[in-house]
Amino acid sequence: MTFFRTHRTAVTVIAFVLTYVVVKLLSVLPLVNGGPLLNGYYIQLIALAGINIVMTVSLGMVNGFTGQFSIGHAGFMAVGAYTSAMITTVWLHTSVTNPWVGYPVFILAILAGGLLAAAAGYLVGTPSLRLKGDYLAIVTLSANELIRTVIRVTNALGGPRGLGGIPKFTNLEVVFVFTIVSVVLMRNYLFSSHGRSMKAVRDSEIAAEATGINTTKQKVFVFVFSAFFAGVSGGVFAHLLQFIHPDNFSFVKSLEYLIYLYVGGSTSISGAIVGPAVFTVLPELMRALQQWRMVIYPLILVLTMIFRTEGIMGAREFRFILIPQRQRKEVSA
Amino acid sequence: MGQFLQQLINGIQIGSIYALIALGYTMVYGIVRLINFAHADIFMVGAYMGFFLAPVMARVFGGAFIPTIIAAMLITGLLGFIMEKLAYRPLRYKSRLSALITALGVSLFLENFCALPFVFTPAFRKFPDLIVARNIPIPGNLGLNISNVLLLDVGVSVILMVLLFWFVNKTLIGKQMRAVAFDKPTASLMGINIDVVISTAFIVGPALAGAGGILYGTTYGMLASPFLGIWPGLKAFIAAVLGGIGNIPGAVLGAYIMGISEAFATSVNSNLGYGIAFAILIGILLVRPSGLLGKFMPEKV
Amino acid sequence: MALLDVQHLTQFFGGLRAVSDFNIQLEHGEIVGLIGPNGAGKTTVFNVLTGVYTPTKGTIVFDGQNIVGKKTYQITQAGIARTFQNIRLFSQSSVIDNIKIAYHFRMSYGNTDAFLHTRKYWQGEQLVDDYAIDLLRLFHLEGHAEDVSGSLPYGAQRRLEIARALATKPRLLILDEPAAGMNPAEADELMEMIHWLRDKFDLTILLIEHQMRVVMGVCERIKVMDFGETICEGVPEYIRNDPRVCEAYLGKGA
Repeated sequence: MTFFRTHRTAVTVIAFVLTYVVVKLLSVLPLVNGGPLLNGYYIQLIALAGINIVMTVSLGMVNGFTGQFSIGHAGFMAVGAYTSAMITTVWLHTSVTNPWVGYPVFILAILAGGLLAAAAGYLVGTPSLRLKGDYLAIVTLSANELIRTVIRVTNALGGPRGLGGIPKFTNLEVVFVFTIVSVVLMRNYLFSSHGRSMKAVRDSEIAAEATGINTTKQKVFVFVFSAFFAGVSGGVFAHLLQFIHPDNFSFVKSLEYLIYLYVGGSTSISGAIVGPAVFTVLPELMRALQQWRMVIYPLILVLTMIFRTEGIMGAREFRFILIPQRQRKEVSA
Repeated sequence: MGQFLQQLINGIQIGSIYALIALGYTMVYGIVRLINFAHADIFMVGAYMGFFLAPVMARVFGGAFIPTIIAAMLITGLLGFIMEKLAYRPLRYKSRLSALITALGVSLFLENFCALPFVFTPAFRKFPDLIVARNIPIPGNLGLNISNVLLLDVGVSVILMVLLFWFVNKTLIGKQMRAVAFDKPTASLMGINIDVVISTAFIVGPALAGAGGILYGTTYGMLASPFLGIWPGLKAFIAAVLGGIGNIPGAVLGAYIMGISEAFATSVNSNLGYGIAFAILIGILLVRPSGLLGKFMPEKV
Repeated sequence: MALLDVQHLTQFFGGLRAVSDFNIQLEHGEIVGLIGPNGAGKTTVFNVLTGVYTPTKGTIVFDGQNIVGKKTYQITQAGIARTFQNIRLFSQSSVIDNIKIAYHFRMSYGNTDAFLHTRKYWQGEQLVDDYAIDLLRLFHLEGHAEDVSGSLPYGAQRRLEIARALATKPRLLILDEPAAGMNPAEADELMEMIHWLRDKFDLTILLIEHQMRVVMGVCERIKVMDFGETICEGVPEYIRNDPRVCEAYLGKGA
């Protein structure tokens, strides 16, 4: 058992690989009536859960850990989705049938989408992060809708008709790698001096300034990298659904991420993983309830907030999220 | 010139409906600092009340409009009261964000509950004619198109707004509301019953939204689905912020700015008409971070 | 040359003159007190010195460098650290993280190292951890290192706030009512600590305090303010016997 304590990183990696193998096997082996247990529909659901996790964790960086209040995250997702889809579909006509060309282009395209989303984040964040609380929320929401309006009126992007024919580059492997890499990067940042400064800004901006932190710069940087991850998520999303529409990225979508975050627990990465995972899958589990599903779902939400105000996880983290504590020397002179 | 005036008039018409919704957002925000997302859905319920009650009212009272709007206001007021009691009150002294997420939950609940087959159903509905639409001839040949519905919208909104100003400025409970909005702890030390004040805000605001719903139905002649509140609600909310959220005249001003700019932008391109609200809002907030009439209060060190 | 040289500092808020023609020179190693009744403008002076407000008029030269118009964080980085009248800890962070945050602007690794947890990151983290735990030991807080700072008892929170200010390695420390809410025994301890701080960290200290016992016991020089004006200045003995001071606190004819 000591192995589990001493090699936490290794254990975590093994756990992820095993999860992947199990999901993959369940999606391939003919277990139910000659078909796999997890059919394409479920695989799509798992992929969506992964995308939602990255969206929520990146939103949590801004809202939960830096204490700002952004409610326009889907706008940045839209920027990434459209940028990457334009590159792979309209400009370079890539296809899955030629993966050796397709995948490198796909990866570069979603990164480009992330960068453009980050630039949008910079444009939105720089002037607005000096606004406090609800006003920041409203500016981000407006920016979200403004981005959507721009897409709607731009014919080259498909306008109100949407953009289709996107090659399906996003598969189980892509989602696994993308989710894990993104979450690890953001978790690393959080457990660093910069991450501590984020929380300092959240707890007391005045005191953070007084301890030498350039709070504006810190806030803008978090906002920008959060937008970057939202943009990349958008790219992965576009290449999963193969068709994107401006309405996929309305403020209603942003509010969904807000729900995932606060129900999971905004002040822990674990919460930002649990929230979207549970709330992406839960409505599907309630399929039998038919039209009652969407009535019961918000009730669960309200009850969770009333009885677990801090969200499911609160500020607690899963062990594999935390950085191992180093042993301090006992006495120093 | 005629074209310009026409858009202006259209803008004032839409602005009047936005104003009725925006007032509810701003009153609730002023008192409990909560963006009540479910307010948009109360507006929707108001509109549906018009659909269901108008035939009954027409039979009972002969005329439909006034009894329907009063009944709708009573029902949405009651709905607001119940909503606050059940969903928001348990969270009053907890984090504001959890209250906000709860508001989202209540909003989703109302939309989806109303879409159930035995409630309002998700189907498209033709709104009953509460008044017979007529064009009012305008002297001169500007080509203006003004209907009695337009006059009704503006007239009803103005009457309700005047009533609200009277209520807030002259009645005891109205003055208490302003005191609570200004400083809740002190107001409560002065013996003001906070619960009563909050309940009042959650009755009056939704009642106005209910009236807005009736005007909306009368103006557009149809109800698309129980999700119809989302976009007018968002616009009205933006209007409230534009004017300075928590500020009652600000909400009205914001609503008219919103309505008028939207009418002009829509005459160019319908998508632009939709987006203009947000561009204006961002522009104004960057220059005046607390809205047109809002007061900026920096944190004391 | 004086470490801090403030000349003709004036601060208006709208039409209200909160501070007028305030002058002060602090020599290296001094402990100077700023007293006066409520609303005299003391905290405003502190806020101007630390860049929270930009003064309407006047110059502030710290260590030969004009700091008027600089942002708060730049002034902290230049070597002026402060505590707050009402404690402002990073209350959801651990005690040790409070110290580490104050060391952030000296950290050697950048954003990329933070994302990738490079060698540089691990080295930096080890360094700051050692630094922080050593500092906590000096303030007898090492036992609470991993506790959430908001859960500390009041006295410990005050100590932590001072420790955090020191973690920025300042040369001038500004204390805003450090003895607020302390009983006489705790205040005695504080007085001892202020002297110890000055010697141990080679500091110059400027403080606002209402407890006269503390001010008189610890300051070498005192400045008295009333209604934004400086009404007198001198060694504690002199201030104690100045009728103007008495008048400012108690009113005419007292």
